[in-house]
Amino acid sequence: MSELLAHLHARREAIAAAWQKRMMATLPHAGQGFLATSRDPLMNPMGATFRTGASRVTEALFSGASREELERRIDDLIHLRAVQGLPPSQALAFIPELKNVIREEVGELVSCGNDQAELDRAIDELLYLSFDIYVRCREQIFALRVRSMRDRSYKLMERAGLLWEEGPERESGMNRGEP
Amino acid sequence: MAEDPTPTREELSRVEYAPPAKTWMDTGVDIPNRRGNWCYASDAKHPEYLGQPNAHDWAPQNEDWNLPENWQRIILDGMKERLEKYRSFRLFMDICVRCGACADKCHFYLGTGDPKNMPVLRAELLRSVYKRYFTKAGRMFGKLAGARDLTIDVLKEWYYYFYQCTECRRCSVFCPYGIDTADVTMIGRELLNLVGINIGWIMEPAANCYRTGNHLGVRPNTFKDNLDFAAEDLEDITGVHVDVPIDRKGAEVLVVVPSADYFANPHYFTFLGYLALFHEIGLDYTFSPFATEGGNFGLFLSHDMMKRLNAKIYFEARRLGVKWILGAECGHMWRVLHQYMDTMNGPADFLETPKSPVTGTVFTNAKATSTVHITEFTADLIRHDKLDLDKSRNDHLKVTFHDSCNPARAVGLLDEPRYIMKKVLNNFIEMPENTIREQTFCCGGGSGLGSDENMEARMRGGLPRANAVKYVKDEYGVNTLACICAIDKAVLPPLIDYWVGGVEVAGIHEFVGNALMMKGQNERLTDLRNEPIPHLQKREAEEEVKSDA
Ligand code: SF4
Ligand code: SF4
Repeated sequence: MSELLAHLHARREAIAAAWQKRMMATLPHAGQGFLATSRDPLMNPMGATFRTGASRVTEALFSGASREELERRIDDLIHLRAVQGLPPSQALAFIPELKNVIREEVGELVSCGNDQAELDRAIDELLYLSFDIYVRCREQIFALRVRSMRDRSYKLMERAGLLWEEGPERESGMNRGEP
Repeated sequence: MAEDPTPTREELSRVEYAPPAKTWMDTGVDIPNRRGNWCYASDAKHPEYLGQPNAHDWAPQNEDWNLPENWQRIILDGMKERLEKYRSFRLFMDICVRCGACADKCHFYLGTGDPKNMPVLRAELLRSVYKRYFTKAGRMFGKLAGARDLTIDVLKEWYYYFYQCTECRRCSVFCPYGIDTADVTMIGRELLNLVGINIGWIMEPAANCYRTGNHLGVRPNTFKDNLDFAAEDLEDITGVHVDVPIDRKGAEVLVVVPSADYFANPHYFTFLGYLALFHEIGLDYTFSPFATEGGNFGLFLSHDMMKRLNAKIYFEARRLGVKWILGAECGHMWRVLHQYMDTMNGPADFLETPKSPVTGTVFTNAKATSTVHITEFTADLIRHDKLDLDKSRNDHLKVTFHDSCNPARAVGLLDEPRYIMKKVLNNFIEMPENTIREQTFCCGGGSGLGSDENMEARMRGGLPRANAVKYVKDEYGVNTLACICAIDKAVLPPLIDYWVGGVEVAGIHEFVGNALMMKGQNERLTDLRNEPIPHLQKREAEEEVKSDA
């Protein structure tokens, strides 16, 4: 599909910019103001992650990079999406959205025939590998919760049974709100 | 002709990705579907134990929070009382000009993009109710004047957003009027607590602390065991036996540490550092079996609870007959000791102005509270050349420093930790200027939010901090993140693991302990974590080969 890719590669800046806007739009109000405009990666890490993510991923996608390379380039973006309090479907919806972004930016690519289907498939692949990363991130969060619990009483766990609490049994502890 | 109802391919492929925009006046947080953002409620037994009003069982995700019938009245009365009692509160309610200077300064806003996490709107959640019931304009013009009725949805918003503020005060640094949103959050939480709304992560440690003196509920005998175990561990590592005095009347100094120091990872290694230091300089000190917690979760609940939990420190100082108090590496503990202790539980007229027994330095800055921070104390020792230090023993570490919000912004302890690090280790690298010192970014888990169920919110809130750490890791190969706060030492490891990886968290006195040359020590080929110091082990191996040859 080299013809189509070359075409998109030439337009990748515009495509990345439009895609990044879609990502920002998934957060209420974040599409405007500081988060959308500040380019300082230290003061605005979220905006910077969206911006550099969009540009690095499209650049790789349009030059036919390997799965591993795509994984590397989308990793930061998915780490961020995984903790933004969105349901998984919404967290990753920005990836298929890239198909629409491309169509809007470069128009229907009728002349490219099969290339279009192949591009769609490449974006589907991107979605699948992102889902793998997303699940890894979520699992990491749960693992970190367990690790924090262990670290908190690291020395006491070594000598279990030395805690004392007055009154009723501590069955529910701090866990009210668990389903 | 009717329109063809078949959706086009584009319509089908489009997933609704953007939620509808609302204005801030609209209420209604979808709490059940926002798991990972909020903390669990407390069991009623903890606030009951502490004699807190309207303690009851409830859960954030339930529709009905089992509030007392007249909850609105209780809150409005509480607000009135606080408006009269705290001049700052009334001022903060009145003077905000909505200039927006604070808007993009909060780490939770930067990580979520949720406008109600902008400090100005966080305060507005309370201010809108203030306007409605305590100002003429608000009473007359309602919404037009930015006033809102105190409804259950507003209350739920308070809970959701006041427990998404770490009281870090970064926003206040940028406010031209000095409005301190952390103070507004504190009042917001106090008001919620009046109707029995509070979180387990704060109430249980506070109840434990009130009962036993520390957050985990460790009894004096267990504390004593822990001190003995620590002395054994230190002896295993250094070959030096140290005595750790407890309940010793007539000692010169009372040492108070955050309880995590003597049982949590990685705090414990800092604790070993203190013990090595005190031994080496022959400090005449004691631990108290009851003042076993410097931390004070009362700060995160109410002024009154803070005062009650703090009182034990002076009580024990008096009982033990010490001359002054040495406080260890802790963040919010320090805010309480420095900013509130004197007015809450002072005057400490039975104590003396702290004077270092080793250098003779008089800490006149600590005259009011008679409490010195351990980094001030150690920096002074080093400045007077009283410690035998081998910096190269920290050569395996490339260290950057996270200014913990409270010591940095509330107390101004900016240079002492840096001075110490430069003297005890060779590789110190600062994070970029606008992310440190007074402008430091919060760890995302302060003010009682270091719980586990809200890990997702912590990750988001801590993103700006982690991002700056990543920068120095990528640029300079930093492998250690130092801090002087017990909450940080618990909260930063998962944060860094998620965003950065390959960076350990440590306290300043861990480095001091590593570098400290102790009389009668063994060859000390490991650091205080009992991990090999690579270049020393290599040298030792080379020497062995040489002597064999
Ligand atoms: S005190 Fe910190 S957490 Fe709270 S609103 Fe200000 S910047 Fe945000
Ligand atoms: S900086 Fe101060 S005056 Fe300006 S909006 Fe924020 S709180 Fe209000």
